[in-house]
Amino acid sequence: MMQGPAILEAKNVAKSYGGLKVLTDVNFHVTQGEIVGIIGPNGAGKTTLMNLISRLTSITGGVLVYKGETINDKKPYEMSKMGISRTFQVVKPFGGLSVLENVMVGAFYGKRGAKSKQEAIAAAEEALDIVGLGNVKDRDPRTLPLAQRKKLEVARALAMDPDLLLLDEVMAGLDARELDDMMAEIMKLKAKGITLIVIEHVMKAIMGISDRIVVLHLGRKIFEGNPHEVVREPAVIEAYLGSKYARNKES
Amino acid sequence: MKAGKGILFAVFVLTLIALPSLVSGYWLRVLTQTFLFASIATGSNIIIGYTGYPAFGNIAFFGVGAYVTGVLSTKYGMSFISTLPFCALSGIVLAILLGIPILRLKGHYFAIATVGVMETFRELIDNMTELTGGGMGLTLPIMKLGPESIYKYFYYAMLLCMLFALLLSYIVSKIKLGYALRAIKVDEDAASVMGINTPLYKTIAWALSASVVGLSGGIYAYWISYIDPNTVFVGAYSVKMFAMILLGGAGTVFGPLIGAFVLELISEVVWSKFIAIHGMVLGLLIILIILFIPKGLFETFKGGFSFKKLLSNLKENSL
Ligand SMILES: Nc1ncnc2c1ncn2[C@@H]1O[C@H](COP(=O)(O)OP(=O)(O)OP(=O)(O)O)[C@@H](O)[C@H]1O
Ligand SMILES: [Mg+2]
Repeated sequence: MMQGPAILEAKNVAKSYGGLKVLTDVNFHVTQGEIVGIIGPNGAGKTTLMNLISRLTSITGGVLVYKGETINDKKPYEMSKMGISRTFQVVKPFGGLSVLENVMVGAFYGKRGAKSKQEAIAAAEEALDIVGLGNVKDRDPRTLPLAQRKKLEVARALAMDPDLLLLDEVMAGLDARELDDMMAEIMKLKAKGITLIVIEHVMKAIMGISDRIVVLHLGRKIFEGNPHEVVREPAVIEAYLGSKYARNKES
Repeated sequence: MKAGKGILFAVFVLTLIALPSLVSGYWLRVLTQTFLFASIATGSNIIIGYTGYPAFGNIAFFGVGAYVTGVLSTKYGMSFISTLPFCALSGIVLAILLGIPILRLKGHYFAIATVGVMETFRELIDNMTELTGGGMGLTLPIMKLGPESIYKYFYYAMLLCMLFALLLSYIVSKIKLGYALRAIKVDEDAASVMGINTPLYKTIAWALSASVVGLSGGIYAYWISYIDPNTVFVGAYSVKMFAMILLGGAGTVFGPLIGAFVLELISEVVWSKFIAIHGMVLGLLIILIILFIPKGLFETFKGGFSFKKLLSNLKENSL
């Protein structure tokens, strides 16, 4: 694999809500052009990490460096202008705007900064075609099934013309064929030069597309390696089995 | 369909332009008042309907605008027309200054804060006796025209104000800004990560809104020719404005205007005979609107009137 410069670096990053430590001393980096997978049991802190990178929540410890700049004090809209786009695990479509208009918002206000309506529409249509939502572009997103609303999240992020794209469980709820399509699309984005951080519970997907995988458990990074190393790592297996065991006991 | 709407609107405006030579002074007064509320509702809809920030106390800008015209014309001898830009400006400046702290609040917290703003301005102006006449009020100069001409003059002035509000609202709905506001309304976090500078755009929305409301206050002051704090900072106007926006449809270009016409004309024809229960009926109407047609008359009955829709709305709302 080609080794480029780091586009994102997390140094001892921590997040706590009051006394509750959700992330503790997380260190990792993302190299320009690669796909980094983030996995971990429920509540491990994956989404929280993404919220920190997109600057939606405050960082309580450590430093995040993006494109060589410390971004701890940046606002979310500044990050988007700097090329970071993301999706939401709990989808957040703009109801009242059509699917196309939802994506146009990304084209207007993301890094792309479309200057005219025509430009925004063109970018939005392109993004919708990529995720396969071209045929529902005039619908209100609230009327779409979840799988399509997840795709809308991706389309909106793509229309922003990101350099670093954060995907939070966009493959949950897809059927086998849709899953293959989505994986193929993600590889195409990578080929276009977009760097990706992908949070995913669907193991087949995360193993198939990631160059490297960071494993979080109870707010700490417990392992980092390529997909083959991850599946063989006892600590990872234990984290997953342990949490499954705990869940079984609960129910 | 779109062309049809345009023609309908053109006919509507032309009728309004022609009316003064056809109807009595009484009806001119009623219509002028209707234009006033249509302006306030249409302007306020930019922050309330488009952006989702229930600026309940937006009437504050109306009161301030009225006093800007009042003070500038009585103490500084400025002509009516030349005071108007300052009315709009007063709204813009105040919305920017107040927006920085208040637009951080959401939902009913924001609504209550704006009511606080309105009360504060009422008190302030009440106490600035030197400049504003305080509780004694302020009598504005009367135009050197016959009573008939004065009626017509303010009819057209208020009509222009309403059309200005409508144009502004229409433009906002069409341009990039409109997309940002509607995104903010639904989800501020999502809007923000998509690159929308939410504090800035909320402030712009409120300032635009306030400019219209301030302007309408200035015209009102000169029309009515006497103002005091209790006649321009009126809580009941806020209620009325809200009812109009909800009735016609929040977040639509024409909804607030339609709401204003329906409510103001009905209220003039029917309820003015029962002044005492006027407020009660209005309150009741708001409750009914929220329960049965939260999206407004026109969005709800696009495909024709039906009781089924009313009932299904009630069910959804009571969840
Ligand atoms: N606003 C908040 N206040 C308090 N605790 C929070 C808050 N947000 C998240 N948490 C807690 O932080 C922990 C990590 O949550 P997070 O959503 O990051 O997990 P996750 O790894 O994304 O889980 P999942 O796989 O279920 O999506 C959880 O225990 C959660 O309850
Ligand atoms: Mg999560």
